Amino acid sequence: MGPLLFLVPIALALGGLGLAGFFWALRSGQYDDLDGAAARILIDNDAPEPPP
Amino acid sequence: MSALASTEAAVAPADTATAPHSVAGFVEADGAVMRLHLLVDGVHCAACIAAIEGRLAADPSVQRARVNLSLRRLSVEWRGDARHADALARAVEALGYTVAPFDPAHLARLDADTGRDLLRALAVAAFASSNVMMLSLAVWAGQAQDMAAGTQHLFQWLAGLVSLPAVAYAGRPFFRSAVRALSAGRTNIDVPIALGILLTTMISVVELVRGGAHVYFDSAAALLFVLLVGRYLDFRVRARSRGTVERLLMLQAHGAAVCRADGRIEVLPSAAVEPGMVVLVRPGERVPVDGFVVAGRSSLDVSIVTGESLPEAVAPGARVLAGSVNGAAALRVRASARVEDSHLAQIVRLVEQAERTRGPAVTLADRVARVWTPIVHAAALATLGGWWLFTDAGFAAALLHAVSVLIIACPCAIGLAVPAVQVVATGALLRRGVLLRSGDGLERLAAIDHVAFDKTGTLTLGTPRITAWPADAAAIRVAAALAASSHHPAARAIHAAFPEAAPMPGCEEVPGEGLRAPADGGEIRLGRAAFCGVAGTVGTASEIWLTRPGHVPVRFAFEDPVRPEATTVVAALRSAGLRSSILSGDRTAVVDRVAARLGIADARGDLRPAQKLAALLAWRAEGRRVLMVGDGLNDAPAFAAAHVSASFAHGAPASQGAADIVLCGGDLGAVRFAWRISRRARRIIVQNLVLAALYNVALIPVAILGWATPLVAAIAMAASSLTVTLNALRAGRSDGAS
Repeated sequence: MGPLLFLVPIALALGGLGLAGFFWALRSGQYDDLDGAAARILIDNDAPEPPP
Repeated sequence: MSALASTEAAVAPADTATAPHSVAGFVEADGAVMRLHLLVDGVHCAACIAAIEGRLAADPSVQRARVNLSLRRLSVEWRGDARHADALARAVEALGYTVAPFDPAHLARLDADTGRDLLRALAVAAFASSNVMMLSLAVWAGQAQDMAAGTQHLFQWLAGLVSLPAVAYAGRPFFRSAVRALSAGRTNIDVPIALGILLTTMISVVELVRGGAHVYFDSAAALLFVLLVGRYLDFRVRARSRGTVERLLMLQAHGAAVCRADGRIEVLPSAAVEPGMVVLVRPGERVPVDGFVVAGRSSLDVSIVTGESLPEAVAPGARVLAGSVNGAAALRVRASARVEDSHLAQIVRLVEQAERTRGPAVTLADRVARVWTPIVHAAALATLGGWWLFTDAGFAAALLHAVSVLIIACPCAIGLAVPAVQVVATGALLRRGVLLRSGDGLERLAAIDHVAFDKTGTLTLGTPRITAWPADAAAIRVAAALAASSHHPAARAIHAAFPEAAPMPGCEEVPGEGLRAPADGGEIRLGRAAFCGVAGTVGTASEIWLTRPGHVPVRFAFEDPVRPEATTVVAALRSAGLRSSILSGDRTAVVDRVAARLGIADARGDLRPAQKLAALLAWRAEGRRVLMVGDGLNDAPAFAAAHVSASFAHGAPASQGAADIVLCGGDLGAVRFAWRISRRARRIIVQNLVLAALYNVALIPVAILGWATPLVAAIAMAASSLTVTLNALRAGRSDGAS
């Protein structure tokens, strides 16, 4: 019984963290353009080479 | 051409040059920052995004340029002048894409917010149902294995603490919809769902407080999760379909070129044109507003507005209607004052009037809910009464059994049965180029027994073709040379026979009559019989005559050809048992010819929009359910009065706005395809409802007899949802030989 008393709330808190993370991602507009996000991975934006 | 310009002083030479369309009128100013949204056609991959954003970022005044691939929308922010928008738009076009201004007036509602709300509710429901299920599994296992009562109660309390706020937050879409329906005096599918969720939660709380053995929080949370998944998927597919239609509308609307008093030309959104402003309409452009011609002579293609397949000649003082396509020469049109009999306003009034007579749509799911809810409640009450009065179990136990009846009977699968099928069917239609604008359009399409077609542009191609060529090839060559400089569709068809024929020098077009050019011995004329001085043959075919000095007059017959697939489509609909009719604004003689060719008995011509509407209303009074297929402005009121309506994408924007279905491919066969898919979808919806009901009905006796535990309820819900979803996947195939 002892371990349960803190393990279950920890599990719930971790789940809550995930939920909060999802809400943040939603609010910052990451779900507005799913096709574009998938395509942008393929764009090469290499950092310019530092001058010698 | 030059002889024409000198007769009307107000048509400036610059009018005839094809200037690019300006987007500066659509810029929003936010302090010093200018913002513009553009629709970009042709973007489909990462390279496109990189090219467009890179090209715009190279401009030093641009602060932000972002392409949204899902919406095909480009958002640009820059510091400086609003007119710089044109340079940016040209830069994107130089890369090979078409741009059009994004006009929020064409958006149905703020769908983005609805999508986000649903997604948030879904996330909360997922969190709650997974965690509560974790606790419930422990309890079920514990019941088999001697869990201490204290632990069990702890877990039940935790489950309650997690589910209560989750149900309150994630259930809002259903509660709102149920309240809206109830306050309007009717019920829909959301009423039993909301009721079920509320009762389950309340009874579980009561049991929790009393220290009872069974609580049903996991059922409530899982029910909510499954329903929200169905609803979100349905919303996504629907939004994509509707978004495609709106994009089509925006790509076609180019704004109006307003002539300012100081001589410059400014492009504004069509809605911003005030009565009294003078608008310039170049050859090939659509007239953006109703009005009167103040300068220029030309011929207008009015097929979209009235259905008349032959162009109409206009001169200063003539009335022009919005939607007509300008043919020969540039026109300046003064937008007419907002009078009550403005043509567009008339159409809008007819549409509104027709929509008022329609009433709210009752879907199959709503009808099932109306029947199901009283049955379920009666069964629960009977259980309560039975257990309490006829056994010695006591009121609390009786209440528990009644509640478990309610939970087992909760229409989870029923709430999923319909959206799952609609998602799959809508996706299949989208792939074929058929867009659904309204949710229940598919259901209404399955119920039709009569199809009414518009003629021009729907059953016919909309552009005339030459049907009878003269025997003399030299005559055709001369005619092609003369026709090279005209925009008249018949002239273009003649010119297409010899595309390399050079325009004849000295050629002059008399709009509405024909073309003439000087030659040895007189004049060569190509045009109407009266213009050429020939007695025309009386008949239903339209004709063009070519007269040359020293030669016999030569005749070309032309007509608007029927679509190649129209005959097979009409025959297939007839063999399926559907009646067909033609409602057209074109001349009766022409309509009768087309009807005879297609084998349609009921064909009416010379119809105004109000008369088309009257025909639809008369059919509805007879109890027929009509599918109206059209493309023009004059079809819009008929669309609103039909049981379900379909419009072609090339047609007038106003008619697409009023139609339930938009056909993108220009293929009449899509009508038949859509009808077969909708019939199949309806069959599968009924199967799904039966399956869902079977699960419920099979388990209600179990609950009445008191053997239903939360475990049983959860398993039943999962199994029924899975069955219904798998069955729905069959909706994407049209059956048999399509």
